[in-house]
Amino acid sequence: MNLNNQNEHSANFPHLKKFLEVHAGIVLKDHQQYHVERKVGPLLEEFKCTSLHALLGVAGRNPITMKKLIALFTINETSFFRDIKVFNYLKKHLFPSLIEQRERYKSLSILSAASSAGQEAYSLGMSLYDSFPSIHDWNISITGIDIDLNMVEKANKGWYTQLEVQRGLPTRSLFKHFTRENRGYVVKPHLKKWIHFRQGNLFKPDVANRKYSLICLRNVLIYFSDEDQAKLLRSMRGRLHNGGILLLGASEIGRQIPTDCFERKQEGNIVWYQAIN
Amino acid sequence: MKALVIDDSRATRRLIRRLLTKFGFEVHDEPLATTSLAHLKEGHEYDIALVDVNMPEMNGIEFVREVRSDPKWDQMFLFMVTSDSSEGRMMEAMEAGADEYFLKPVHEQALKGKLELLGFEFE
Repeated sequence: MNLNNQNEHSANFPHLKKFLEVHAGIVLKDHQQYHVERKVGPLLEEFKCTSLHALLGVAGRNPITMKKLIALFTINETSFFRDIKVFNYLKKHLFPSLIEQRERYKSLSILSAASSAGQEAYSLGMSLYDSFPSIHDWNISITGIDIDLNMVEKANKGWYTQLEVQRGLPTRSLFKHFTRENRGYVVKPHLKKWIHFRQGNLFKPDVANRKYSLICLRNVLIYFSDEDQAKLLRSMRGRLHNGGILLLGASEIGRQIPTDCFERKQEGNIVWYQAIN
Repeated sequence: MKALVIDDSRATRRLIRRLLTKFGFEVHDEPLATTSLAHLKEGHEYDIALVDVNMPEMNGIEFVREVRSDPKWDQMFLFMVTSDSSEGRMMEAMEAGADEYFLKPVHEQALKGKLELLGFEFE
């Protein structure tokens, strides 16, 4: 370990802490300062910074650097069926209505935005597969988009460790939709054929110009400024069919949503946004 | 919400008890499947039993079979908590009538997530 770097990181830890708190609402614990060097090393190289102090300066001016820096300290909380109430509501209410809308086309497209390691997309697929056998012969497409190529590759493999499948995945679903492989579990072909991941920037128009019936953009807005949130939401509207549904994370439902794009709907604790003309 | 914790390891019983209490459960624990069965037969009722698999005298899967053979305990969820990750064991437990299979180590959020799958709601 480079002691000079370590000292420099320790000296700047309070600045980093303040930066993350102000820009991302992330509150670092003091013991986390010992991991700072390992975490920020690649970013120092990428942005040609010689110190954490310099990196914080660049991050203050460059939104991409800021985003990458924030991502380093974001705990990856992804799990299967994250927020199970949302999935239960999808199964009971939203999916039946979307399936009815798409009945004559016999196709349904869903976007898992910022798809990370893919658990959300596979959970959506399992919900559809298990609850709606009548659509098994439809053209179902669940697309996961993420900026991080490593995550896209992992998600496309559909292989998860024992610990990952433990998080949120019902044991019966594990048997039904996964096969044991290399001390972990891999998604079975009947589910995999519906689900694909690719690298992409959610702010930019979709190259395939594809329209979706449902977009899950959960726990993503929190990483962006108000201005960028509005841009992102407009971009999502552009990707939805009229009447399509946008789902946000539970902590994001109080945010400003462009009212010319979406109508807010609520039932109990579940909030969703319907795309309007 | 009432939970019965069955594990021959005192440390594990303590850990699970602490977490379940934090989630809002009223918890009773037993060191053996046999004593647990006797306890249930006395008329004590629980919403869920968290059951270790490998225990002396009667293992967790035998316990599940016993419980599932009597309709008066139909409403009680049976939730295996074990370090046995073999798929054969998992299948055996689920076929015997277990509702969920959870692998140790017991991580708070993962445990909570699995309990939520069964319909338990927490603050």
